[in-house]
Amino acid sequence: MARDAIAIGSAKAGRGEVAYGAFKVGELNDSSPVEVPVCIVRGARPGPVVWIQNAIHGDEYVGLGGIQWLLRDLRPERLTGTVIAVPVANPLAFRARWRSAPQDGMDANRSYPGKPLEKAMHLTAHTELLVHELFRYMTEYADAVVDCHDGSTACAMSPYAAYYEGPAEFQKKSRALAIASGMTVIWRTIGGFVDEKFPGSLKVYLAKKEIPGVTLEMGGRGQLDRGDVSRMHLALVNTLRHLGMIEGEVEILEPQVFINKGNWMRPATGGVFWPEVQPAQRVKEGDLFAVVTDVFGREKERLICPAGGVIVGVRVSGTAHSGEYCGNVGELDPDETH
Amino acid sequence: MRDVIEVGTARAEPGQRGDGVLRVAELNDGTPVDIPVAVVNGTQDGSVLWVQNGVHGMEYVGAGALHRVLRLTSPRLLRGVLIAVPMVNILAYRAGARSAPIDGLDMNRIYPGRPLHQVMHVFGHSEVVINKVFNEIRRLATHVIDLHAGGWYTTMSPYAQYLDGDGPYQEASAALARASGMTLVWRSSAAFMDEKAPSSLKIWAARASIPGVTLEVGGQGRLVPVEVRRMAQAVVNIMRHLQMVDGEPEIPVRQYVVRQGHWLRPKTGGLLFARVKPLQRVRAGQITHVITDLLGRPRERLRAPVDGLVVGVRTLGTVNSGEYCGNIGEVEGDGR
Repeated sequence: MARDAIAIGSAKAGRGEVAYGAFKVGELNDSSPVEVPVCIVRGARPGPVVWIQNAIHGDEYVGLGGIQWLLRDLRPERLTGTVIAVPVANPLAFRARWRSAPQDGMDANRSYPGKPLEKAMHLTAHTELLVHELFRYMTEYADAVVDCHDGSTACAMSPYAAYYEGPAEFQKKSRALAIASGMTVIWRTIGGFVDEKFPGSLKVYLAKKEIPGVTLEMGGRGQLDRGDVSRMHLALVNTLRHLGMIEGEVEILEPQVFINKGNWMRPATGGVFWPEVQPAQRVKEGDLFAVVTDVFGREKERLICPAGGVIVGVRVSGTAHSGEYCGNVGELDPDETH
Repeated sequence: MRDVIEVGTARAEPGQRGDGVLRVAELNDGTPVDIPVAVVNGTQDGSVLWVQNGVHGMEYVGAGALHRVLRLTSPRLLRGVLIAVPMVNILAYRAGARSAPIDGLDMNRIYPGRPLHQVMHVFGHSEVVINKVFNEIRRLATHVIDLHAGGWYTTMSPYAQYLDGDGPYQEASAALARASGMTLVWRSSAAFMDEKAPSSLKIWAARASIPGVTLEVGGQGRLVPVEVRRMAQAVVNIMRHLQMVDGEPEIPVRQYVVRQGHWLRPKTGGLLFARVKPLQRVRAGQITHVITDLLGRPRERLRAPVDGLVVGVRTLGTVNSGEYCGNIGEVEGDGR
């Protein structure tokens, strides 16, 4: 479908143009605007519109690095279709260097599709309004969505791509995006599990709108590790190659592992946290995942892998309160060949 | 033969009061997070009334009111059981904040909570706390009262809110609301609650068929004696209504039934000048707040969308776009 102009806030790009700008999602009490920065790279030839966003959780930086490297190399004259890049989707959380905007503490990736002002629910409705604007633009323009995440400051994630079950065509295209990313772990997230762990997340609402999408995760620890960024960048380049937007073949670096279930690891006690596994490590049921000690080193709790599979993510921060996310053991998908 | 009642370490034989704590979490230095609980076990059978405050950690009126209620409640004269929880959200209380800083979740939007192995959010604190608290409510309570106030930023009219619908459950909840003697009795539809307070205690108490009511008065981070007494009287009124103690509920001459609440939220951020007070009668179009920038240039005027009474009003002198600035209640009849 031909579109005349793509306009998102102050960024407006005609065919063959690059536009930098921002769209407003709120106003602080000094009347300064809260704006989400956006870059539109519009290819000379018409084609798919891909929305690539990062930092819906404000302390996740690997995708920001990947997007920077992608934008550095994109040339409208050699691009088919359009890339809409949103490196910092949650600016107040980014400023605070925290997962959520401190103004309301809401997890933005549990708040889709957001709410307009007159329907806002929480006392401080910032995140609901932010997500509403993001999702409104996505549904207006995007043919595919890439949502970049990482383990934030506390955790490290294996290179993985997650897609969501949904209507047949949506699921097929989303799965293809996940595989083409070249990430090592390919995660089919399934309905009941998503309802438990990710209600209100972007992929649930992309499924409802039948916009194919994928979540990419890599690294974390609050770092811009160049190895991690490079892997994320490759996944973004692969995505554009897969969609025929740039030239080149999809590169897959190593055999992919398919999972369809994650086992969240959470301690019942608080203490000093000693991880015993690495991201992407293969494990067996009963393997030691981590040990929680008191501050003197006396053991309080052992976290044990409840199933065999692969380490999707693991807490690397040296301490945990009771109940906190300390990682995730993925179980192999019986519907895929290994 | 009446039972011993235990909540966490609080244990009361019939005719006794037992104080203790319910352990809900542990911090990374190994210190526990304990919710204080008082159990007053009567000498005769009756309702088991769970009264909690401080699901939002900067709401203090109900905690003060529970001191008074406990002082006035003699275990020897009580029929049934009173379980008093003056502060549910301990980490938020320590921080002087609505939510626990550890995860920032609004505890009154995440009922019934989740056990450890089913926790959803990365920081699994508030979900686990609410699960442990709500499990106790389900295990013991025949009636539940959730005390709130306007936090730091707002002040609330004396009101009792319940979930509307057909059937004995709603009738029982409506009776609790009227018996509280609060000036406003707010009948909230399920659709309204789904929009403004999904997964709040009222909704889950209804699913568990435990009649319940939310009581609010005051706020601004204060313990104003007249507001504390009003809240305590409302709890005592409900205990009288349930025949847990002798006496008739004291109900004011006029109670107004609120049938719909309208939230006030600005599109801009700035200094906030409040022009209305709790319980004030307003007309549609009347200015409730004026927002200016820091140099005093006008940015926005908030107006009452309907004729009604002011239920709550933000009194803090500053606001970000989108934030709650109060609500206007449409009342039954002409409200006079």
